[in-house]
Amino acid sequence: MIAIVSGLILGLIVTLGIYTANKSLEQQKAKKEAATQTTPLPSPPLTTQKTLDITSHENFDLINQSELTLSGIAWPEAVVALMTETDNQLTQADDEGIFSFKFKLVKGFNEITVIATDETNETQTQNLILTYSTSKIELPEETEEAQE
Amino acid sequence: MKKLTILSLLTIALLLPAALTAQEASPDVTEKIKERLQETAEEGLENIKDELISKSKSPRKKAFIGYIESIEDSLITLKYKDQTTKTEVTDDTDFSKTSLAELEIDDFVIAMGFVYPDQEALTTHRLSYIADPEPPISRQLITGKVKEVDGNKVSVDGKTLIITSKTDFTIKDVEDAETEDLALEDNLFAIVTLDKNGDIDQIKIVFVLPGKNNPASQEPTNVEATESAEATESAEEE
Repeated sequence: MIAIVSGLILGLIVTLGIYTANKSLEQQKAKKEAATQTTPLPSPPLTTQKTLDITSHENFDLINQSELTLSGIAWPEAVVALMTETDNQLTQADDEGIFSFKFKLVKGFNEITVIATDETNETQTQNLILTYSTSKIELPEETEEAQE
Repeated sequence: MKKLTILSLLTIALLLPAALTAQEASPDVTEKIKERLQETAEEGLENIKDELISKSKSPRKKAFIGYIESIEDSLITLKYKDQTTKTEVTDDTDFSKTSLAELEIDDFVIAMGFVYPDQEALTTHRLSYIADPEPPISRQLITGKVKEVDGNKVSVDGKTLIITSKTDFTIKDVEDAETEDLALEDNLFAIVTLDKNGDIDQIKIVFVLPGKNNPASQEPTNVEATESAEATESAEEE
């Protein structure tokens, strides 16, 4: 009886050992395969497109507030200039190229120039006209209802 | 003793498959979490998409300005600089101090109303004369590397800029910057106004990105300094 029990224990230990060894081998193999698959291939150098987009407003927008935050996307760390009728500002875009300016509009139409540039003298320009008016311009009721 | 051994073996035999199954089940849980995350992200994207679609379908409040280029029935074409816009007047259009019949070619007007997504022309709610725009102030963005600094005179790629107390002067990462903080090869950006001859009149604003010669472009080293200062203080206390 002792011999049978000892044999069973030994058998179990051996089975467990084989199972663990196999699993460990499989894991190592899977890791190697994953490493081979995820090794990045040498890629050509990225050419960041240097563009300038104003995202907060569109040309000819009619605004009923004087204070305005104008924001947009240029390229990472571009220097961005804002020129309005009464204001000049310079700022630097963040690591994602996002920038914003706070300024006041004058009553009537405002011609705004935004220029993005950098040390390489690459330059992109956007002009837009924004009108500040407190005149009540409202959608006809039927349009509003249709929208809802 | 024998009974104990048999019991132990039975326990091992019963628990072993359960333990192995548990090990194999963990990837399923990961998969489920991944699926749930994917679903949440997709739901978020769908919401954003819906919002954008609804926004693009909404009429947008606009104000078109320009000189009247043509009037064809109720459609007026405006031109300002290189931009041409169309505005449609209706029976509901409020003509401030004018009327459609009184409008003439080359009148400078502003038309306020809504642009509907499927229309190019503005549906005009109000149209009025406005004064001709004043000639814009001639301004320029100057960029370049600092080549020489002499007091408040800064030479940048062949141009001399005189920094005055009215100039908004900033060097990145330098508090209360002055021209003394400039170094050769710094990258300078300035908005200037030009006089009638196209020469620099006033330097409105200057923004400088420190170059390799400027200590401001180097990594701050005050972390170590602070640590050593703290060490000295604690040593004194001891």
